[in-house]
Amino acid sequence: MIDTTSNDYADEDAGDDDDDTEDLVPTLVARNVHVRYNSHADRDPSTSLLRMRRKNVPRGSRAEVHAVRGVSLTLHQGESIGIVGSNGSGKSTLVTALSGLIELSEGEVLATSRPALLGVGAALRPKLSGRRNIMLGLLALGLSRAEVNNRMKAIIKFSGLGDAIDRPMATYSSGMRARLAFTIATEVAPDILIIDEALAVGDRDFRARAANRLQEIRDAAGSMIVISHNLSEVASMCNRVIWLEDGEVVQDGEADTVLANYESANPSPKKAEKRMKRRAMRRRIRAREREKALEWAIENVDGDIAIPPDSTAPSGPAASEQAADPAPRPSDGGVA
Amino acid sequence: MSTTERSVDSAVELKPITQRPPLRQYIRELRARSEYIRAVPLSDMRVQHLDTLLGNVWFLLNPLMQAGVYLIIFGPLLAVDRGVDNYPVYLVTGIMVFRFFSQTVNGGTRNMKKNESLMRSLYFPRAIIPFAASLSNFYQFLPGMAVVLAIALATGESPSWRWLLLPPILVVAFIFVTGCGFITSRLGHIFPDLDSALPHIIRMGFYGSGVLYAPESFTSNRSALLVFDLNPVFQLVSLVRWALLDRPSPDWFWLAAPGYATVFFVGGFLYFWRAELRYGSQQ
Repeated sequence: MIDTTSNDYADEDAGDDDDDTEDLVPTLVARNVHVRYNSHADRDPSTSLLRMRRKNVPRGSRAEVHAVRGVSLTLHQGESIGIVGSNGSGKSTLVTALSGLIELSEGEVLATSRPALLGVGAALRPKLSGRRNIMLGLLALGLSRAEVNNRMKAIIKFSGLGDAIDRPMATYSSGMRARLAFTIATEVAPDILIIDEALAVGDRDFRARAANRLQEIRDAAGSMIVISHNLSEVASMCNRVIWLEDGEVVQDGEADTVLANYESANPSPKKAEKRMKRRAMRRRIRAREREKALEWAIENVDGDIAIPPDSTAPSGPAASEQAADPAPRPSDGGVA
Repeated sequence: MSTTERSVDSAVELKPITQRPPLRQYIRELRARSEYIRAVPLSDMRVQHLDTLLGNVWFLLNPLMQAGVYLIIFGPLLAVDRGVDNYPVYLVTGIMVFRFFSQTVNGGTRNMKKNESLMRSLYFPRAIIPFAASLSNFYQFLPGMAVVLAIALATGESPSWRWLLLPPILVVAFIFVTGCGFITSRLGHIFPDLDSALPHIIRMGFYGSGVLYAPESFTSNRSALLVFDLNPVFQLVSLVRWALLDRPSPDWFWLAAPGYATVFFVGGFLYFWRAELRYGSQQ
């Protein structure tokens, strides 16, 4: 842990004084949260049972997974915390624990009210229509049937699902499913909203709607925890970021600082992507050159000396790299 | 960590959310979701036969066909019907009541597994799951009872005032079965193996509940008959048969059956609630 201060107001951050938290009302406090569970661990099928005994390799059995290892954090009113970390670092398990949905192995979570968790796999009923899912979801959140019926029109309009609302949810695309889940989870404005990668699959229209609604929630002094691999999204939504790795907090602090550190530790995959693209482009150019040469050779099959017509044009790897570089890079909205 | 400690002290409204809610609060949360509890079984049933050609007709066809199978095998073929005046009604009554019991109890072992993803994305008192499952089975049991009444009328039984006592008997059956469902739901969560083992045990109960035959016509051994009499499912079946067929049933069943129902419901509910937090976690 590099920095565990939960104070994100830089101007007040003159030392760890007692009056730091005076106007910061905590809405969620997690203390030393641990989550362990047992899982089946299979043996490596390429080693035979006989050899395993000889070499004393452990056989497939139940293994303990220690997904979250002693995370503490405090979320304040109106605050948004981003959580970043590689796949399998325990982010989702952590937020499920923070929502009070699974048993903690150690530690405790205190909150002003139960956080609403919004995940990609939000459990809706696939065979039921969107409309019935809205009804059931909101009844589960404690609304009455009459209330839901009154608001149904507005809810469906917000979801933007149109006619699809009466089709079984199993026919929805992942983006449509995300719309539905988001609509349900935010219909009863939660004090604490936890978003686990749920906005990633939405289109631009949906993202805009979602952003508006999230701003409304924040304006109403609600607080938020956002898991996302889109670092620019995290940077724009959160003033504070927690970097999680192997179930432990690597760093907790101001968004810019933590994101910069996280990026330098995990070089953006986009760079690798660019390299791959450049290589593919080079290959394509070389192939085109070869093709041209072949065409020219076929055309001039009767002649005795074959000289490519554009022999003066640059060729070879160095030149093709130059040519490939200014190639348009789609979907480059990353944080450089 | 000093900031964390301080903020906890200064905020009185923070409540632990990773601890089991106290019983009173738990029941209050359950009652606040009464509309949800009623909606879940209906939506479960709505999709149950969605992929079939006949759709919801199966809710009626299923008990009818089951009754038919048992009637053919145990009526004319094996003649287990000795000592029973109206064997079709006698048999089908037993089958329907027992089916409601066995489906809820056997299904209980899978309840929590089936709803794992729901529990990991939404908070609600977990007792809703076994309760709604039992309610769903009860709703499916009612068309079965309609089949029984139809057979009764078709075989010459005439309606009597005793039929009016059927609803309260069925409610007692529902309470008892729901209690059992709470128990197997938690047990099935702890020992997933129960899913394979329990059906065999329940099958034993099937033969020990006098579903197919009248025990007193087959044995006069007092202790053997006592085993039947003490079996809550046998009591419930006997009471339904008393109401429909005017078959004698010991008076003390009227106390024993609701007694069993209360003990199993309250005990089962408490047993289930004690593991409230564990249901969403991976086992």
